[in-house]
Amino acid sequence: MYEEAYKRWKATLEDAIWLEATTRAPLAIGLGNSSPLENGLALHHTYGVPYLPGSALKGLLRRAAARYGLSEPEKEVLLGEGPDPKQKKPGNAAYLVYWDGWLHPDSKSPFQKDVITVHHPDYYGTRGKAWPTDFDDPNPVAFLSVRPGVKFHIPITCPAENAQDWPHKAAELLAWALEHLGLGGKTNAGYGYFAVKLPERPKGDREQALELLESYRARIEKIKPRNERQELDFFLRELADKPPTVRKPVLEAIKKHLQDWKIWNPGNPQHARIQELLDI
Amino acid sequence: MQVKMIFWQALTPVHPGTGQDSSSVIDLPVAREAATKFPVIPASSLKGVLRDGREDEGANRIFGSLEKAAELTLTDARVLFLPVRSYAGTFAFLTCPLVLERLGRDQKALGLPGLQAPIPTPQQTEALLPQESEIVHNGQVILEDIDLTAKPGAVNDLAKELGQRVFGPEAAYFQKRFALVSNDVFSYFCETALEIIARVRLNSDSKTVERGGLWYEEAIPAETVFSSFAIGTDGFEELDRSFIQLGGQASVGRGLLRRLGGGV
Repeated sequence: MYEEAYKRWKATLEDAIWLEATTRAPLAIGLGNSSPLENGLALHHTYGVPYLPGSALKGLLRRAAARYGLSEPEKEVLLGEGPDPKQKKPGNAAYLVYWDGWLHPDSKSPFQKDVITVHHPDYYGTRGKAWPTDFDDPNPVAFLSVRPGVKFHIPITCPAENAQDWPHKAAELLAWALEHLGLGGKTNAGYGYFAVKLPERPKGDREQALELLESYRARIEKIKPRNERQELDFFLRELADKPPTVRKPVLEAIKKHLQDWKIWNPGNPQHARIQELLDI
Repeated sequence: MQVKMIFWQALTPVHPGTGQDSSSVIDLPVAREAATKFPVIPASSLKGVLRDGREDEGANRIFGSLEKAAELTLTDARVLFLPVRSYAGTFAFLTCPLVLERLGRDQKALGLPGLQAPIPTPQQTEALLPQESEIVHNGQVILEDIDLTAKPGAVNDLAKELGQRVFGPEAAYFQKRFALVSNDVFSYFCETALEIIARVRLNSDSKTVERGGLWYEEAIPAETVFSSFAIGTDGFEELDRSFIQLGGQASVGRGLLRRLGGGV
């Protein structure tokens, strides 16, 4: 049943950027929730399986953003901004959606029995008025945590079109935070750390352009007056259907090479064509 | 004039907030019908999300502008089946005679065919089930903190018809969890069995909760099925979406709804 719900959910969010996070350590999230045991755990209301609340992921990202020193506009996009009554600013919602991380149906029996033992209940109970001694009765508290090796899938979406760089950026930051800062309670005791698999990020135009330039650099250097005509033919043919931003650096390099040789001549039809492509 | 019945199902918790203080433990309650206290998604939420900020001529015609009223009318999305945690079968899809009779009345008024199957009246302590059910444990249906006597086979036709109309090919998954309970029991779960989510705001450095940084939100749980009507002369294609996201707390993943079968 949960598997069906998981598939339905996954199909609905197929355009999201998906993080796969596997617990490396026990996970104790939602310890304060009400539970028949003394400490709670974040369990899905309808299905009863553990999950990673979207609000916890977003909160973790906020902490990572503070560490990374992101700029205010970046934070506004990733996390939104509360209203500021003093400056009468209305604030804005985040541009991204951090969905709950759902348990992967392959991760069977995700729970483990865990225990936390208070050794000095009087010391804590009286806020330090009673001394902690070796004669205190330890008070073991049993609770459930998520065992290591359990896989969760976390989608991040951006409703705006042509802005898929943002969820990728958020995913990278979140991956770092899940690996290094930890999620949920007791992170100082080693709980809540994950191993994260990031989706491959599609290469931006800039990266493609640099790669293209790198692959042709040697060939451009070898353009001599003697082979100039056929070489320029080759380049004009190759670059004709590349996007303008991708071919621009190559064209610039050719132009510069020709200028260095002092044979750049806008009257030459091939040179004119290069200039024309550069001006688009 | 055309009328279409639209069914939505929550895939994540939905928070159609009221924006008002509930003066109870819950800081952010969900919208409810005034008379029944059943949770509801106001038509304005649906319409706003479908319009999605568009101000062009087409959108003005379908959704209305200051000069001219909309050609497409949407009604509130009312709860048809409420998922309630069950001791057996994970959860039950509950509904009650009041919900189904209201639906039938509205269908009739709008000229749509109503339900064929009879709607029996369950006693306070009964859960009427189809023959094949997964939510029975030792002759009882145990929901949250209420135990009801299971009556298998009492609503075979109703479960079949509702399953086919609302879920189509997925009918079996619905039928084995379906239970018809009394109006009072349904009301009780509508008021007490919604999802309550505790939220905290942590101080980034100390990792402790900030003063005033604890609040409770209510949400209509995942799996809930809503019914609504679309009435009008044009613009029905706007509803042809496999999913929408609406309501509050959107950036932490609330309010993902899928469109179910639909049709008449």
